[in-house]
Amino acid sequence: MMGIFRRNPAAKHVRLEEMSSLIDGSITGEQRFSYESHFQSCLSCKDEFLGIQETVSLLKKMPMVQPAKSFILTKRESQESSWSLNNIFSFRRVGMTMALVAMLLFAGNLSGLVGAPNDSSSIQVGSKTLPSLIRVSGESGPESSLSLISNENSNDSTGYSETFLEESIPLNESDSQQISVDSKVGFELWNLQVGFFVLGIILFLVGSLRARRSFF
Amino acid sequence: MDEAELIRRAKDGELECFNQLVLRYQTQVYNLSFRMVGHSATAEDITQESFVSAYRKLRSFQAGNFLAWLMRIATNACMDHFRSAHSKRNVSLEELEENPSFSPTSGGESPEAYALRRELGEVLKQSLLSIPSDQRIALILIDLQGLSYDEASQVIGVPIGTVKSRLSRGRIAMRERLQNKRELLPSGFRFS
Repeated sequence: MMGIFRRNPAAKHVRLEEMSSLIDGSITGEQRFSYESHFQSCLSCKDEFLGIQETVSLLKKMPMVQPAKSFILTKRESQESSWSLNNIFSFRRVGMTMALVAMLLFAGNLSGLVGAPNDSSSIQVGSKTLPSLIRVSGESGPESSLSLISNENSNDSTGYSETFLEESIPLNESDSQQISVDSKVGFELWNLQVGFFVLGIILFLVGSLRARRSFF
Repeated sequence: MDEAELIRRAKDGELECFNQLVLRYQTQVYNLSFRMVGHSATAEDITQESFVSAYRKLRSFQAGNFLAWLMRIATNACMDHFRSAHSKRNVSLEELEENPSFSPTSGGESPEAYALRRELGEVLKQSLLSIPSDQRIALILIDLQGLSYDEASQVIGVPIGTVKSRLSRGRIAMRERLQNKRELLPSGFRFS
C-alpha cells in the first residue's frame, strides 16, 4: 500500500493529499499547472491520481436515499424535549451529583463536622424549648457554659431569644436546667442522606442504561 | 419564509416553524446517519433523536450555518451510537435489500445492467462502512453530500487541515477496498 506520502518525495511526486485537493479544486491555478505538468512526465503519479479521481467519481454517484418517514416533531415530542429531565444525560448528571453530595455528607458525618445523629437541634431550658443553635464549651461542671444563638424573635421569658443574640449561660450541677438533645432530627437527617444517595445511584443507573453507555 | 426567520420563530417556541426546518433538512440528516450506520431503522432513530436534540438546544444556536449545526448534532448522535453496545447488531439481508445504494433502474437499462449497478452500489456501501468512522464522516460530508472543507470542518469540529487529511486517507482506503471488487467496477477503473 502507498502511504499518505509517495515513497520518493525527493523526486517531487505529488502527495496523495495534494491529489485530493486537486480533485476538489481547492488549489491555486499555479499548483494545478505544476501537478498537471508532473503527471505528463510521471505515469505512476498520473495513475494514482486517476484512480483516486475515479473513486471519488463513484462516491459522488451514490444517490441521496429518501427517508421512509417524516421527522417532524409532534407537540408531545416538543414538550418532552423541553423537559430537561427527559434528557437521558440529565439523569446521569443529576444522579451523579446527588450521590456525590450524599457521599460528602457521609464524610462530614464521619468527621463530626455536619449532621451527625447526635447533633443537637433544639434545647430545653427548664420548661422552655428554644429554637436555637447551641454550643457547649468547657467540661461539664461548674466551669462549663452553654452558648445560645437564637435565630428568631420570640419574647421568651428567659430573655435569651432576641434575634441573633448570642448569650452564654453558666451551667452548674445545682441548676434545675436540663438540656435535652433531640437526636430524632439527627437520625432523620441521616436517613435523608441515605435516601439521597440511593436515589442518586438509581438515577445514574437509569440514565446510563437509557444511554446504553458504559457507566463512566 | 427564509431560514433565519424560521429559526427566530422556532426559538420563540413556534413548533410549526421548526418543523419547516425539519422538512427542509431531513433528507441530508437522514442520509448522513444512514451512510454512517448502514441501517435504515437505526438511521431513522438517530435522525429523530437529532431533531429532538436540536429543538431542545435551539436557543444555543447563534448565527451561522444551520445545516452544519444540525449535521454536527447528527454526527455526535452517530458517534454515540457506535459507542453503544447495540451498534454491534447484525444488519439483515432484508434490510440491505430494502435500501439500495443506487437508485432504481432508469428507462432503457437491462435487468443485467441494473443488477450489476445495484451490486456495485452495495459494494460501495459496504466499503464505506468498513473504513474508520473519522474518515467515513469526511467522505460522506464532502463526496456524498457536497459540503465544502470549511462546512465539514464545522460539522466534525476539527481544523480544515485535519478534514483534508482524513478525506485523503478515506479516499485511498475506499480505493483499496474497491480494488478487491474490480469485476463490479466500471471498465477503465484504474489500479496501481
